[in-house]
Amino acid sequence: MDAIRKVLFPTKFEDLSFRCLERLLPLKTAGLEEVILLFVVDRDEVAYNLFRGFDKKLADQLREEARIRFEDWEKRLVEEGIRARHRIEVGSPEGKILELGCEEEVDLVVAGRQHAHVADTVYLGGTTMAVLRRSAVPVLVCKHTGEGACDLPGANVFERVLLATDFSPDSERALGFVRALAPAAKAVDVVHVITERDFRRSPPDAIAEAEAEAKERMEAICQDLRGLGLEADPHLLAGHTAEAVLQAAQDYHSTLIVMGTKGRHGIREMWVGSASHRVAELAPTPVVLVPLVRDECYV
Amino acid sequence: MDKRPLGRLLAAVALGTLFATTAWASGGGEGGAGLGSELALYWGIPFLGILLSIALFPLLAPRFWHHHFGKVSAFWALALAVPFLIAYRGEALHQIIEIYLADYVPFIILLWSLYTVAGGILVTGSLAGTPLVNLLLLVVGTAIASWVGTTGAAMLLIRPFLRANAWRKRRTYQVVFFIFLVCNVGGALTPLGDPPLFLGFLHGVPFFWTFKILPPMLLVSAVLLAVFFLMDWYYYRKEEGRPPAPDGSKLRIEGGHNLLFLAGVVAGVLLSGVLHTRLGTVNLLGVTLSVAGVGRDVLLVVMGGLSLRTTKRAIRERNEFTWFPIVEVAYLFAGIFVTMIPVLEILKAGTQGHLAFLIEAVKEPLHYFWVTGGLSSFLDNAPTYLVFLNTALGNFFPGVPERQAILNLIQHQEIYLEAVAAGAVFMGANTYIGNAPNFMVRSIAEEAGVEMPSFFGYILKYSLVFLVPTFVLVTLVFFR
Repeated sequence: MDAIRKVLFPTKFEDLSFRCLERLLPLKTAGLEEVILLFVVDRDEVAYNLFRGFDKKLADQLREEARIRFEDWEKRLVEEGIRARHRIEVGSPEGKILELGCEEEVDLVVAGRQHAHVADTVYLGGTTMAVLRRSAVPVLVCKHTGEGACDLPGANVFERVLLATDFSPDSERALGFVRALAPAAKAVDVVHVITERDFRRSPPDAIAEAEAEAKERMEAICQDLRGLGLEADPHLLAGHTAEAVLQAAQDYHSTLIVMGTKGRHGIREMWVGSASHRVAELAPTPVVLVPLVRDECYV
Repeated sequence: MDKRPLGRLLAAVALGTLFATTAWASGGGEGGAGLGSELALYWGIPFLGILLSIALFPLLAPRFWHHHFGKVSAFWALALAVPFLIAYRGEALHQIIEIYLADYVPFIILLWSLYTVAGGILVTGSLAGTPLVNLLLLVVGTAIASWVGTTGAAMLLIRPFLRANAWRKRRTYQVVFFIFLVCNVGGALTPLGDPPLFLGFLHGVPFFWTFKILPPMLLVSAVLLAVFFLMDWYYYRKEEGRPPAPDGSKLRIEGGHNLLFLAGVVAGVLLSGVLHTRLGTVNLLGVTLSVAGVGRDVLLVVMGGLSLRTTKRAIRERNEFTWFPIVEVAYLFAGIFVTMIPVLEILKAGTQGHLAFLIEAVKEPLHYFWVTGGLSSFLDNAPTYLVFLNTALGNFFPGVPERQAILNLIQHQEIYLEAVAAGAVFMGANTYIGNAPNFMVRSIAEEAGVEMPSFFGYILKYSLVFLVPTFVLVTLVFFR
């Protein structure tokens, strides 16, 4: 990935406001050319009505409402120098987001949901989590916490990026995403976590060796990023991966977390979730999860 | 909508068991014989209430119904269960547990597994919508409906059928005949085909007995297919255009491995019938269940689970698969099954019960055919089937244990069971609400741009014109 040219912005209007979209504008410097706005009329809301069958009247009304709103948004995006168009589809929101992400060959899908929990933890909706698990395209999870407020902080969401890496192929792809983001960013904190499991399973010598190797590899990544004009610092962390990454994001005042993800992980994933998904779910800051490249985009 | 439909479905399935076990803990233990002869007619009010709610709420308050049908179902279930438990304690408790464990759970598991497995099979590519191709699609749909369920067959074939005819100007009658044949008549041959027949199977009707409905089913199918072909031929000749040139996309099946799971479901149901008495029984919460039946349910859950696990979600999404219809069925039947307990008991008591007037009025096979069918058109055909099966049992074998009474009925008065089964299955086609796949196909067709008739338009322009005369013919030939 050399630039972030095309973004898919699905919205239910109450979840992701135009203000969130505006916060993505710094991506212009990273090559953003076009935004595709998407509204999905949930089939369960308009179809399979015992007496009405497909409720065309309601579907048309929802379509029209979305069109009017989108046309206003498009006008404002064009004024910012970004091409914009919209798509309004009937179907399952999760499926349509994934399908159109692939069909439109976008570089980034924006997903998110406003849902503040009583314990001040922000949880994601089912659609967003499903998109995160299945997407072949990087997904930016944008969250709100306050009433009507978008929680993408500051003027530039992409200013201070935290790149969490385990040096796996999906982390490599996440690094590629950060490289593409470089023109819009200022600094990157590269973190690697030596996990509790590593400590439990490996002898002290092996841990020391892994520590040295991680430092070396993180430094290489930082060198690479510095070459793109970014400030870059390596940080070696220890503990539970998701918790360590979340703590680091807080400590280094990160505006965005970028991680690789392998996508679905079988039965285990269903019960405990991957570290990247946990970070996406719990981080108060926006998170980009970058999946592995695969043969078939929409599966 | 709820974003965890599977969870909601499982919760709905569990609702019955939970309700029953909770009630078990609080109920008394006294037994009672001849409950059906004691029960007054007003015990049937919740059953009538839930059936009328299903019939009227979607018409009068569609959006309320769309979001609150579960609460309405729970209301009627409680309206029966609470006073019933207070009045009849142990006996009522046993009846409630039994209907959930022996009827509701297997019933929902079968529907869920067929729906899940069939929903994982996607037929892609396009056919030319000529009269011959359309006829072939309807014949195939009618033939497979008894093996994959009417819902499964309809979901599998409606999209290829609509795609094939996308270029045609008049498509309404095509979809209506699809509803007649694939969504209803085709399901008459096995307990897998249509829910009422599976309920009959659970109550002791042998798996292959339903083949007895083959002659009337062939007659109805032949008449409807012939009429369809003539109409389609007539309108095809009037079309200005011709089928678009093939776009090179061959007819292809994605998720074809689900056919194996489908075979597993068929084998499970079939084997449970064959092995019903051979593997013994197990007692659960005071209800005697056959080991073969429990094994069948486990196998069906495994088949559905494997389908979910091994089928790409994109296939289901491109199939426009949604859990909503099956969740709706699960919620509504959780209410229907409990509320129909007193009605079934009264009917089983025959002329000793308070529905003696019904039993005395419904005497001849043609009565059973038309009354079962007429009510199946507007109420759900599964409970209607059970009501009139029990009417026949009360009429001929009052007081005889149900399984024995059914075998007696088959041995001595088989035509009555044929009339009930044929009426429930065939006449589900009379309205959009007669059988679940009817309104699903209508919805899918409308979404694809086909102008479908309104609820009453369907009855007046199609059911009364094509179906009712065919059923009169069936009556004259088979049920006179």
